[in-house]
Amino acid sequence: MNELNDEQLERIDQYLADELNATERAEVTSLIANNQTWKEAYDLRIAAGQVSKNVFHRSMRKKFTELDQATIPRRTIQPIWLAVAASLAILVSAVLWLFPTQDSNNLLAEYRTFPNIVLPIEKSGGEFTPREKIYQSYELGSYDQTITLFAQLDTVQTVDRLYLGLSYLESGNYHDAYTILDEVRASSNTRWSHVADWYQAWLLLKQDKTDEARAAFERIAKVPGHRYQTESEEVLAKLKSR
Amino acid sequence: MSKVQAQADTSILEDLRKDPERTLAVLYNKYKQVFLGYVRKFGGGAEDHVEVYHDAVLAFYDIWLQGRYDVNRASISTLLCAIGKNKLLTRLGKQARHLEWTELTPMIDAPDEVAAEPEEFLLARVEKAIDGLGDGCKEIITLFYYQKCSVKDIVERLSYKNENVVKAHKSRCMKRLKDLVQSTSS
Repeated sequence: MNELNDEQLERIDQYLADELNATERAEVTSLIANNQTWKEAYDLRIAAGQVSKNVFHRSMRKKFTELDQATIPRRTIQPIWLAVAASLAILVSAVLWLFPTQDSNNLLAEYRTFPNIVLPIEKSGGEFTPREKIYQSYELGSYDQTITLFAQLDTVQTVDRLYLGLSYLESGNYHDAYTILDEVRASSNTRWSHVADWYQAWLLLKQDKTDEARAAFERIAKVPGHRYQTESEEVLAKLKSR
Repeated sequence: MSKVQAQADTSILEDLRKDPERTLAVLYNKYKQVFLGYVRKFGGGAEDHVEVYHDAVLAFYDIWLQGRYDVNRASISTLLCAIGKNKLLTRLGKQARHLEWTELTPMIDAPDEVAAEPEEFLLARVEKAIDGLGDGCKEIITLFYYQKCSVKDIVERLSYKNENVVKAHKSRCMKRLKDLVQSTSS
């Protein structure tokens, strides 16, 4: 069976993304209809999209169920219980005011690990470079191993320092994570410094330093064009509403 | 639909492009009570209503992904209720008598833009093979082939250096997927 070259495969992707003019589109439609190799490449991409959809739907259904479980069902309430509920509400508010950790604990459910976008795992075997091994280790969630491997790396770039800081964060070593993320934040490369800003703010939240975390999110929200500007505004709104 | 409502919906749609998972969760909570209040009158139990709401939110997302949702013709809550009503009645076996054509019907019932569904045996093989890919590949495949993100959008969403890096990565991931599919069938 003949293989399609990169240019032909890219053509199918452009077809799927509706980026071709009418003539080009008709040409690809004809190739898919009449050429088995083109049809197989096209079918694989359609199936990949369909499977991704199924996976996404399953994941969202699970999330919706979690949201349902977090919702208190509404029932008919007797007046006496209203009084008790009001008293409890005052008590809970007081506790929340005294112990703001409850706010951050709820919000922490929305925390997400930064993905490996540097050297994603693509190969199942063979020889890997030291840097590939490090990033694969990070992707697999082996953060202690990632930290050890970073220490053995000869040349270190800003992005490596970012992932080292993130590995410390994920492994719970907040002190080292803070220091390294601070260093990356000072970098002139906003592609990585913005990520460091964002995760350092979450680090403070993880440590229950709510006021400092709020200040960090406020700093991000004030930077025009910051990658996490909108997200920070949302976090601040949630911190404010609780 | 009020101007304020339209602006709120437009804002949700913008967020949906940037971060679908989180925005769908926000949308889910925002319209849940309105939706449940609306579908209750068509029968069924609380469990039916909640499950239909799950389906309706995901169906809404897919309609939007396929470019069929027009925010100027119906608010998000109106469309969710219309989808939910149809799904609930179908679930309860009442579709023949109760489903009616409305101006939203073409938005809800239009066939998927992809003419042919992949064959089941290929889907099963791809489903198995995709597990063998790393998270980076899974993410880029989802963004491009399901969520219809452009290469430019993916550069921004995942902080890639440029579009060529995304294309090269996507190409390697699909070759890897093809190899895995072939190895699962042999």
